[in-house]
Amino acid sequence: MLRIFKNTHFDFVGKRKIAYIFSLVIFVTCTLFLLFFWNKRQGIDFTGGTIVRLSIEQGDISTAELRSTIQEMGAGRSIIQESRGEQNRKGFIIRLPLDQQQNEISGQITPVQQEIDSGLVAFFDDFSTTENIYGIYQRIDSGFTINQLADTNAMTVKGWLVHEQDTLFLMAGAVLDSLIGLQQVEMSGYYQVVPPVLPLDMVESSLDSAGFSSYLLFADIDQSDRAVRVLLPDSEWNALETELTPEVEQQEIAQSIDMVIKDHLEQNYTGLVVDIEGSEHVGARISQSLKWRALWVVTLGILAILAYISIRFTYRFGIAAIIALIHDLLITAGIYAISGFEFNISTIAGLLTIVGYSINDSIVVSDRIREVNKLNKGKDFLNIVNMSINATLGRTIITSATTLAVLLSLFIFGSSIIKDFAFVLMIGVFVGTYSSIFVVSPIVVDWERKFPTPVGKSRA
Amino acid sequence: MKKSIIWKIILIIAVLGISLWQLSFTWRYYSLEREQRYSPENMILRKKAIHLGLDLEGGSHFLLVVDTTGKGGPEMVHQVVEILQSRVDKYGISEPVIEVQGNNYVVVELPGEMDPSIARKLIGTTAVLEFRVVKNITRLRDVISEIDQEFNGRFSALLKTFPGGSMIVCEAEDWKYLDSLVMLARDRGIADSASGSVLLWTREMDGEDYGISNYRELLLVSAIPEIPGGAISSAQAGLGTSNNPSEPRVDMEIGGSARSDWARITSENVGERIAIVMDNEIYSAPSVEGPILNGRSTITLGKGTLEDAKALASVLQAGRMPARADIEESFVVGPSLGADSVRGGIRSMLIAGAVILLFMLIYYRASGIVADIALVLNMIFLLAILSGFNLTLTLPGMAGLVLVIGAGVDANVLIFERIREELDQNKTPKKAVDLGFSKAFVTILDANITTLLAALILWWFGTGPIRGFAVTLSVGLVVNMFTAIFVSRVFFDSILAKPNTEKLSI
Repeated sequence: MLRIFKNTHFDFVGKRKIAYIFSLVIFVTCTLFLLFFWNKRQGIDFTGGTIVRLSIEQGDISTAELRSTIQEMGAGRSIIQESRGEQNRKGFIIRLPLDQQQNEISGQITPVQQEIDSGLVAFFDDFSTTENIYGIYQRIDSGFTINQLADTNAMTVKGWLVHEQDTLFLMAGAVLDSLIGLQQVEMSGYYQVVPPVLPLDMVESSLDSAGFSSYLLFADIDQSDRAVRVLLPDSEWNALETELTPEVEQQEIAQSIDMVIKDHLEQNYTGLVVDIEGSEHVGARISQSLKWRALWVVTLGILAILAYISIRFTYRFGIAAIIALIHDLLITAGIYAISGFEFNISTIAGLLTIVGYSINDSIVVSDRIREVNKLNKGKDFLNIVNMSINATLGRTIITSATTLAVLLSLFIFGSSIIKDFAFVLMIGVFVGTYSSIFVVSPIVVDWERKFPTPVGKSRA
Repeated sequence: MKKSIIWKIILIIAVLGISLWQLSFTWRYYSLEREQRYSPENMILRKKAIHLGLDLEGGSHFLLVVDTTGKGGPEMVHQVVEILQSRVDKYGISEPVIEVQGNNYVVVELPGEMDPSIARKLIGTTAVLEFRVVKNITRLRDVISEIDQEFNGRFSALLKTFPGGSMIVCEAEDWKYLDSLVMLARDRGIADSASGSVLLWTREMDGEDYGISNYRELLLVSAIPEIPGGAISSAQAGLGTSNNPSEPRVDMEIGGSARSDWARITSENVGERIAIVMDNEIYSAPSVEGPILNGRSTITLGKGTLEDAKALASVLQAGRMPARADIEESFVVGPSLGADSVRGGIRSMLIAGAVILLFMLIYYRASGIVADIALVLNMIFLLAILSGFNLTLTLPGMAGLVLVIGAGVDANVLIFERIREELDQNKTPKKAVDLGFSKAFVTILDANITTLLAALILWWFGTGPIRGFAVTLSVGLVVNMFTAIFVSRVFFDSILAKPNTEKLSI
């Protein structure tokens, strides 16, 4: 028979003074660390912000280059981390805190605006020399948002200003409809820009008759969506631009931050193709409420288990188990934070699971104490507890080892979000095993020594 | 062997059979190519397979917060839901989830939709609501034959008429194609704005009453909106009409200067229909029963429900007061990121599983086989329950599965260690197994209940992915108790069924 522990007689409880000191030192260290560094260890679930995961499809870019590009965009405090993207490609995780995004947005508007302006000038330079410029094929890869403008300028153009990533243009359907004198705006929705391409000569003549002296036309074709773009020179453009509220602009950019980063990178580094693998965004309201809910759920978990233990065992075990539980939670959270991990909702889920598991070990030991106590009434309680711990030692070690083994496998092979989670659980299982032997049992023994259970009542 | 044991073995085999049958759908579904998974013929298979969360399957999740502080109040939330539904519908996203959460939040989940700007497309614009007069069906037929001439009859080939020729419809899957023909025809001057009337489709309707799947109706409507949606001064759903006291209705009032227009239109079009158009899609097209001179109109819904009436009222409100919604939380997971997570999860599960199985085999020898079988059954049952009860497997859920593997042996270890102790006291194997199981039972129960308590609290508090973890963990714990206490026991009992078994390999 293969056995790790057979008939062991370790004096666990006798060494409790050392254990108390050891636990206390680690507990205090962890608690202090959490108190002082809590703010630095909160993930976006609690602070709000955006995480963009991207991988490099073609070309190469270093972390430093990426950082400087992001800084140029106005987001200095972002955290950039290199990671493994899909198919083992080089990847990056960019974290943008919420407060940072505000700055970044205002920093973003100016370059985009300049780009449009200079782009327009370049276009018009071309236009003067090219006979037939329309029909330029340009794919619309991403959508655009349309903001209604009413009676914007002297020409009372009733139309839509379209903001597509980094180009702003008037939507032809809308502009033309009003220019040509049609009341109906043929626009089905937001992503599909209908109408079908209008005869361009018609567009041209109507623009002329409407008094636009210089403009540029070209058709966009994107699968089934077709539209005519009308670009207007600065003078006429500016009149429209003033109608754009800053609030609207901020929103547009904030919500497509991943695409903005992609475009920016691809423009700045030739040959670079960036793939956005995913993104997360958490707003301020949700992150605030999540903080409270996280606190709530852990407290509730502890209370529920205290109630259960008190029913099943004596309240002494309940109190001892809860002390152990708080000890486990704070040490786990502390080691997790000291190791440089961030707290997110999945971390809280991990901690709550620890609440369940750490108590698990304590229960197995306590159950045995109760059983041994029944059989050995009158014997020294310390010996009973020691016997019980030794009797369950095999099980304690095996279960902890198997659980740690699977968590390690999860930590090594799992994807990044799961890594955090597996790490919390690993620490938790380890600390939980320790505490069931060195915290719960000694507390129960010392309690019994200070305040002996009246004769006739159960000690466990 | 005792009869009771045979019955128990039959029970276990039956449960295993049902579980494997249940899992066969998952196997077949995920063997399909990614492109095929969403096709209509795989719909039933898809429903029966384990449902993957957005974080594994890829897709977009949004939490929108609706501004309810304005005049619109709480009604705004429903308006946002209606608008989103119609837009998502138009987008052709399969199985979208749009749900109200709390007082002013709306959750949007779009599986398989990876475009990061989709949310902006969905909520970036205010809905345009307007009323247009529906032209007579004979004129609609004329336009259809005109389009047919242009496209060699391809247009009407996919159109259906029912019932009795009063409606011209198409099945939902043909709509995109037919709509592009309408666009092309408009381009060539058929039913274009200049002609005074244009073709518009209704939103997708349930075609069960007509024996077809979802359909859209084609209508010829006036090119110029008769009345803008902004003219609506109030819209409210209620029950009871002149014909039927329990029929749902919507009371709508047109205010201001549009009131006289409304009176004129309704007088001119008695017996005809007026289309309520939202974002160039007909939401509903009720008939005019008589002239409405005071602006107060009642739209009766016939067979519709009160919910339908409330939805219509919300849509009409959109004309009056556009809702404002902001994205409060979002995550977009690309298909590769999701597939990566699944691969990582499966790999860690297999490796963890192999290590545990091997360890149990070495440490407990023949009894280790019993524990191993229990563990494998545990996994099969757990996955079968996930698919059978349509529970969602998320990324943290996969972590839950791995955790169940690790912790799943705990019950077996508790029992086996107890049996060993009893054997140490020179008890017969039969007695030792009996005592081992009964003594370990209470401990197993206590230990699992505390973890279950934590999992349930997590389920109650968590959203989306975290709930997935709570679900796999709690189901795993329950299944684990069944396999460790019941299944393992049956195995031991059948091993020890031979009289006078003297040795137990443990």
